[in-house]
Amino acid sequence: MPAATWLDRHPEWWVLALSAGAWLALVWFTAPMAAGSLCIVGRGGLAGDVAGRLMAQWRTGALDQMLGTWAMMALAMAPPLTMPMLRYVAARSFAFRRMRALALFVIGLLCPWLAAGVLGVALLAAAPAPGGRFGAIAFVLAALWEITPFKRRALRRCHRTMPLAADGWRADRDCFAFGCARGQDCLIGCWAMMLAVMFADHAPAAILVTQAMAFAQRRVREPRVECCAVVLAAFGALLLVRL
Amino acid sequence: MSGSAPGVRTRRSVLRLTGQNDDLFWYGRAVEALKKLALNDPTSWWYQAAVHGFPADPAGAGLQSAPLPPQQDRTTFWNQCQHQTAFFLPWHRGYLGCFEEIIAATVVSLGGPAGWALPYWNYSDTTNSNAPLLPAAFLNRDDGQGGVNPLWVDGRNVVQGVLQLDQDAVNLNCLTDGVFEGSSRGGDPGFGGPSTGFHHQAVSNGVFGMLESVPHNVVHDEVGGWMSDPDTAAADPIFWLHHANIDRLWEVWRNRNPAFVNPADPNWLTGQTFTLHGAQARVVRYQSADMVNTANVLHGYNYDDISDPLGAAQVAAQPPVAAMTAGPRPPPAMVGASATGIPVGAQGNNARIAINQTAHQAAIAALAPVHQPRAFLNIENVTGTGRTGSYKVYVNTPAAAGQPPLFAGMLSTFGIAKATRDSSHTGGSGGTTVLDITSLLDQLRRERNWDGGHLDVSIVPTDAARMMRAAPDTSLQIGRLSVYYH
Repeated sequence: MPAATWLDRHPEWWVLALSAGAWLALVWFTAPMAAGSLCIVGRGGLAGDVAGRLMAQWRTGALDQMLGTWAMMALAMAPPLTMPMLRYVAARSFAFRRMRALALFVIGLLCPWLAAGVLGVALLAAAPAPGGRFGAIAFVLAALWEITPFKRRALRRCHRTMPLAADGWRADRDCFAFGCARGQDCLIGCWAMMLAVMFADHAPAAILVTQAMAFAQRRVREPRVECCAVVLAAFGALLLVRL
Repeated sequence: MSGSAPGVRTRRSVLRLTGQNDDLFWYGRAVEALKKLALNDPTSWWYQAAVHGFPADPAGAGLQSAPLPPQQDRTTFWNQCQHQTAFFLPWHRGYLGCFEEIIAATVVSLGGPAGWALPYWNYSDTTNSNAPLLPAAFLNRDDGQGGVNPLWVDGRNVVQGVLQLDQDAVNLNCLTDGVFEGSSRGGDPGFGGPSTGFHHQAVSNGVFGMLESVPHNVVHDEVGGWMSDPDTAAADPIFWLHHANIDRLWEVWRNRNPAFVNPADPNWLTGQTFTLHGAQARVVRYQSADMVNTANVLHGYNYDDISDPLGAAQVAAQPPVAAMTAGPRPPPAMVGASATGIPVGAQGNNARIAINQTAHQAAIAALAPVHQPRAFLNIENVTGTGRTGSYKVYVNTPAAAGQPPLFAGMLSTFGIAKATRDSSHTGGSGGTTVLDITSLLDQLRRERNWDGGHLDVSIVPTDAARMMRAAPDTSLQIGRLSVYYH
């Protein structure tokens, strides 16, 4: 199939290209930190109370770095998981509005993740020390979340589409709101998993495994969340052993 | 009851059966026997119905609710029905084959002949005035011998002792669609349904294929009762005759034009494996590739009539698919849409679609060099609660409001309540019905001076829908109406 035809049939290509770029950046920036090990945390460990630790992280620029990494991770991971939704937005918009519609959807999709990121980074920065124990706890928590009915329900809602106004500000509003709604379901489904990845200092191996699991869960009729729970629990156990 | 080749059995029209020691008679006997088996027996009537779908409240729906089989069996074998997908036809063909095997074995165990074949209900047979009537053997509660007729179920839309399908419910225009596997992006959904992965009900705004919409879905609605809900439909004995006819129409379609062929797409042929139970509860696994030749499906079968109901004239009028296209078909393009959120009350509703001229011209420029563009009305994200029946859809131009609108097709609500629930695999998206309105737009331009600016759409409930909407807790809403060129 000629490239032009392929691009015409996949108007969401540029969003996926953006995600691929975010993946590369993520590997580039985080690989040296995590080289040779699976992490682990240790952002905390400074003396003082919670506010003091946060202020210290802020002054050193570590907070900015953590937030930036989180945002990059959200951009790398969330759009590919919602590929059917990207295609839906493109298909249900006028051709001349597709790029704008997709952009608004992606912004909406990332909003809940970025808001959660602020909270998660604050939590991580305020963690007393040493981080490894918290990483292990986070993975066990993620494993438990996998087998809750909330997770299953959120996964189903990830497939939910909504009618979009065709033109004008209503179309912009609907695309953004649709993105927010799917981002929210994505967050409910995967927050625990991603928090654990954050505690693993965004180690590429952890990100890859969680991305693969999240992708598989959205591709099948009956997601094997129990298997994912076992993998996450194993990660947690591995961290504990290495402490 | 023997087929044309050794071992191949022939499915016959129920309109030609008398119920006197024939396939219909033995069907009743076997259904009665299977209904006595427990729910956890894979060959029981209730287990087989649950393979299609099983409601959250089986007892409330009047179905057997215990003893349940192990959870692993329920996950593997139940709630499998394939809808809004190109797997609709092959999955149901395997399902019917397994069921036929179970019934045939039961007939033999009851002292009947070997080689029993599932009859089909050809409600579209224009040569028989009884065709759209629910066959008499299914109509009455009394079996004539003081017992309950095993083919009867309560709650169907029987009015004054008759259940008659609307003539538009049995329309066979789907047979003119030369593409089997279509698009879920607003264009032609295809005769057999859009290309998807394995799923139960819709994933991502599931779109119904042309055959699935009409007559399949609408007949489910029109019969009513258990038939109007995918979770209970297969518990009604008429379900199997209805689906035998749908399966027969696949053969009719394939034989009416040499260009009408099954998909060569590997995902459709071998991408998904289905697992069911046949006679003696043996596990049967199959893929679409195993379903393309009826003579090779389990015991093998054929139909006594696969002649073209649309006649030779329409075959000639339909250009071969190869001649219609000169290269890869460009993706569909939206050219107009209504406002969002259209409630459909008991009296139906009207909506106006604004055609965007920029989008219209761009779509024509992209499509016209490759093939003659077709226009499709999309009734998107239809959601609702309860059993709401089916609706007739009409189009008109605002300037011709005094003239009768043109009939565009049927909107079915079969499966919509289920697809509306958060807990469903649709996540609550509802369903989308696509109607080919190419000839109607031409007619509006030709006869009513349509300027291509706005299109009025009317949604009118059928008699059955009016009856069902009288029930409490029913609601229906259309997410959006849109027009696509493809």
